[in-house]
Amino acid sequence: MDSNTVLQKVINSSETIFGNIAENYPLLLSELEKGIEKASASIRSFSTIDGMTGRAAAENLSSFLERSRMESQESLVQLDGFKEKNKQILNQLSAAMNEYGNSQQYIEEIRDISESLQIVSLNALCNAVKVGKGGEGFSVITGNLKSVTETTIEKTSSLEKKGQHVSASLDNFFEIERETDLKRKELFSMLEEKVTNGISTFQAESETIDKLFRELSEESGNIRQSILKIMEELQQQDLIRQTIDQIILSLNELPEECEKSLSDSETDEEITDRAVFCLRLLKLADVMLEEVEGKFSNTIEVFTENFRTARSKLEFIQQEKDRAVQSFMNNLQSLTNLTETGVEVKEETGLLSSTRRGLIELIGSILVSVQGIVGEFSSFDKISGWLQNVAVLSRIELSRSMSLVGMKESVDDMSELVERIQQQISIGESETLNFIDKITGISTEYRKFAGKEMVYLTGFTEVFLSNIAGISRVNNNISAVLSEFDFFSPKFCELFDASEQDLDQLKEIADDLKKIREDLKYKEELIRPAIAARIQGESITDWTIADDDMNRIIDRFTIFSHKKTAGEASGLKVEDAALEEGEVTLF
Amino acid sequence: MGQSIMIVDDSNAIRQSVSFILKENGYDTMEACDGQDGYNKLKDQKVDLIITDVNMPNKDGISMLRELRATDTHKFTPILVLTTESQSSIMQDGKSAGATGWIVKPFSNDKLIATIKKVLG
Repeated sequence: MDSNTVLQKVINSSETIFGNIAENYPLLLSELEKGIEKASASIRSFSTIDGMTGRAAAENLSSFLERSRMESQESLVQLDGFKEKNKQILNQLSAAMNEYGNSQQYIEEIRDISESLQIVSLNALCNAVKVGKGGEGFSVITGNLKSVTETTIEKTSSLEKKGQHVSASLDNFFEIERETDLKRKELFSMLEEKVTNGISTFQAESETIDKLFRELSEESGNIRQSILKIMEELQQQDLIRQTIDQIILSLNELPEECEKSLSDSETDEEITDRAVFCLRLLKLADVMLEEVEGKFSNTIEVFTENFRTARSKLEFIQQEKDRAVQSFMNNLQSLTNLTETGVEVKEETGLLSSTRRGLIELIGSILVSVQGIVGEFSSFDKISGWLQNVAVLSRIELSRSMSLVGMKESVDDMSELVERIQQQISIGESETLNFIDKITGISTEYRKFAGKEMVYLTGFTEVFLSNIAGISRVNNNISAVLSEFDFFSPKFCELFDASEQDLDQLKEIADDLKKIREDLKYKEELIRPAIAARIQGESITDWTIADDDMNRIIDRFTIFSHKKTAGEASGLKVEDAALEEGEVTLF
Repeated sequence: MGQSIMIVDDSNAIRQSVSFILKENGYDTMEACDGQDGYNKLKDQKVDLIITDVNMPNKDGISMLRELRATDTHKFTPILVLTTESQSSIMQDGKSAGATGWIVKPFSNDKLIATIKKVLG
């Protein structure tokens, strides 16, 4: 391929590459702007939820978190109120229980008296037997008395067991209450702590990522500056093309195989003139190509430097963005944990309500047990009647038989003991009825309180779960937005990579220019010895030629700096430029 | 809609880069690849400004300028010459043909926009 063909190829290739850049870079900028705009929009609003738009997710989520926190806190206050009421009820229950515990001493009293009565009746029976026939009737009576007192003692044992059962049930009730209170306290303290931590972590992270994204958004705007510099540099192609065009025109004036023309039939002077012209033209072409090569290298350098700046900014932004997103996503885990807390809350509040229901049932069963005790007392009424009858019959028998005079003291003792048993039965029954009244009242109050607490817990759980669902939705939206979040669209990256390939091709063109210069140098080297020999043969030191042709060739160069370089290369003076590069003249 | 500017240059890279800068600054642009193409597109088309190169195939910028000035449509249209030519004699030719201004390549984007704003008032 001759030099001009290669030069034409350089023009065509550079035109194609610069044309590509000229077409791609506006698209690149547009993609960059779209990316920044999209990223900014995402920063402005991470997500939308329940019709709420345009608010940053941080605010959305914070409001959900804050609401949940407030509700947890409010629950603690509410539950403290419940706890206070519960405490009052439990105090009443405890007082009633203590009173009832005192009433148990009557049962012991009845048993003690019954045992004394048993002994007294046994003595009386022995004495009646000693009296003989006159004491037979009395013996029967004291025998009956012994049997009634045995029944009374049995009954007191049964009552005692029932009382112990009630007492154990109440102890159990208090124990469960204590445990429930502890669990409730733990649950709501855990909730408040988790929600508070969730808020502070999320707020801190969202502020960090928001700040960083804004900085990165500004940073990505700087890539624009590099792209604009590349765009401005594109006009160099026109200058390079024009100069190469003029070099081609100049080289077209080079006589064909000018080194051989030295030996044709022309005069020595003509041949030497032509050879010197050839040399000058080759030198001019070489100098101009050097100029073009310099401009080309400079342009490649500008492209490369700005491209490198843009690339490093792009990579920095991507890395920072990826790092920030990863960190944010990791910290969103605290919110995921919070949503898991929702399940825990549902289970725990369900458990609390179920325990409360169990306690209502327990207090009901205690009531039934106490009612059973009252039932036992009604059987004491019967015993009391029998004892009364025995006492009366003993007195009648005593009055009927003089032989029983010595038994008067025993009969008096028996009567007194019977009277005391009756008194104790009456007191015990009255105390138990009193206890029933109290426990019925307490049970009713407890049911009301427990019902309210259960309604509150159900309501709280629903609201909390709804907030948690909100948090979960925002969380998912943020994750979705962040996973797709990017400053640079795939189209931008594709164009950017294509630009890198364009740069490589430009470097290849620069190599072509070097090869052409080598080719011209080779031609020059072929001519130079022949001219030297000719000049030496004529015994002259220098050979000058008419400058008209060279002036005409130099005149074609439109860019002043090139024209001046061409003039200097040909040893001709070039008139100074009227205008500087980039100068503007308005007429 | 922005003001309309016709860019006449045989270099695709120049047309694209000038067009991009002008669009960035809110102008609407049209393009022609040489003097003849420019004349054909402009003879019946009013625009707010014409930017033309000088050395182009088929018809050079100064010839196109001269022909456009002869039409009623472009008698007063501002025409800026954007060229590598820095010789005062050629600039004088442009001025005589009716050019409004002369900008020597390579130019800076800022300077080009400032000149356009000044010319369009």
